Amino acid sequence: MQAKQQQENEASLEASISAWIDAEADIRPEDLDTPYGRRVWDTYHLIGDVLRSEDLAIKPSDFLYARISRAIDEEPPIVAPHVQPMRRFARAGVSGLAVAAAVAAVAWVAMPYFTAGEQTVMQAQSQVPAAEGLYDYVAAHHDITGVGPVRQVSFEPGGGPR
Amino acid sequence: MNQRDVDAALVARVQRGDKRAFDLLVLKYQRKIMRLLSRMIRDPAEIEDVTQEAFIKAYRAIAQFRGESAFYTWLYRIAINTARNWQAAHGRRPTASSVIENEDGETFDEIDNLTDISTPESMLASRQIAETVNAAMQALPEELRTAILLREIEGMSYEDIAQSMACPIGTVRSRIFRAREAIAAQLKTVLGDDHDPDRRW
Repeated sequence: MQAKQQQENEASLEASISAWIDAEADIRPEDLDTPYGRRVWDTYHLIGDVLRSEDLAIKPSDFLYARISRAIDEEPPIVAPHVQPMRRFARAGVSGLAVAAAVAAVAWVAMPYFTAGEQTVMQAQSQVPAAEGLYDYVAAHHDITGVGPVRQVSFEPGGGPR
Repeated sequence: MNQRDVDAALVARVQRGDKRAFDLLVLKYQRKIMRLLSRMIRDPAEIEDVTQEAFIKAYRAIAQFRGESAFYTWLYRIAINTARNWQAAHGRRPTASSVIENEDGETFDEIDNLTDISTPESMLASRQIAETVNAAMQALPEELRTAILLREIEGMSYEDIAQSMACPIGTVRSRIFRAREAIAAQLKTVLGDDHDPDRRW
């Protein structure tokens, strides 16, 4: 009686595995967490693989699966961050904040040009000597290091191979 | 629901810390990964070592898998990179290349000058498995054979198969399951002790 019951349970498990493999029912991995369940899962996939390609009639050597499984057991557990869908109001709040920040940034940059035009001109004029100093520095640098590689490549009309 | 959804469900379990769900992905894809690696690595024993390494790398990286591509496309990429690293570490470089196409239609530029998984023993086992599956298929009643072929070869859904065979979906489900069971029963002797749960699992 008990054996018959067990046989019926196994039969229904096999039928479920068959449907899970075909994506025709929601898989319950916990039901496959037995040696028998994994064996059926493996054999059914083997059948499908071989029907699609005889190149996949591969019999991994003894214990390949067991080796991998043991190695995985020795790995630290993985806890991936759970991605929560962003709620609507939160999304609207973030969008509003982004718009306000953008407006504030533009205002911060543009304000001096509207309020202190003369001061800006004076500042620009005062930067000229510094720029001249920079040109001097660059020229001196060229004297030391020679002509830059970009200048060395030039096109000479009429110049042929020598 | 499709194969991608099945894999996604298993991956989600692994990402929540369920290592046994990863076992199911290993069992599902181990043959495909071995076949892929056999085109890049000569020694059959090393193919299994690299297969193991590839799966472990996949496990370590699975937290970052977000499902933008199919799981097996992602897994194939890891396997190819693992094999390339292995080749570099062992000073073995490919001498010719060809294109490998996976089930998603994605192509990988790869090596085709190397051997397959071919020790005499493994070749014999492969031939026995293929012959047994083919013989068991031929012995199936017509309606079971048609149902499993439409599913496994044509990739049809149960609903489409039911329409094609003019029968209820429940009958399709039952026929495919019975076909698998009949073939699996014949395979038991070929798979032998390796498939004994007490030994292998």
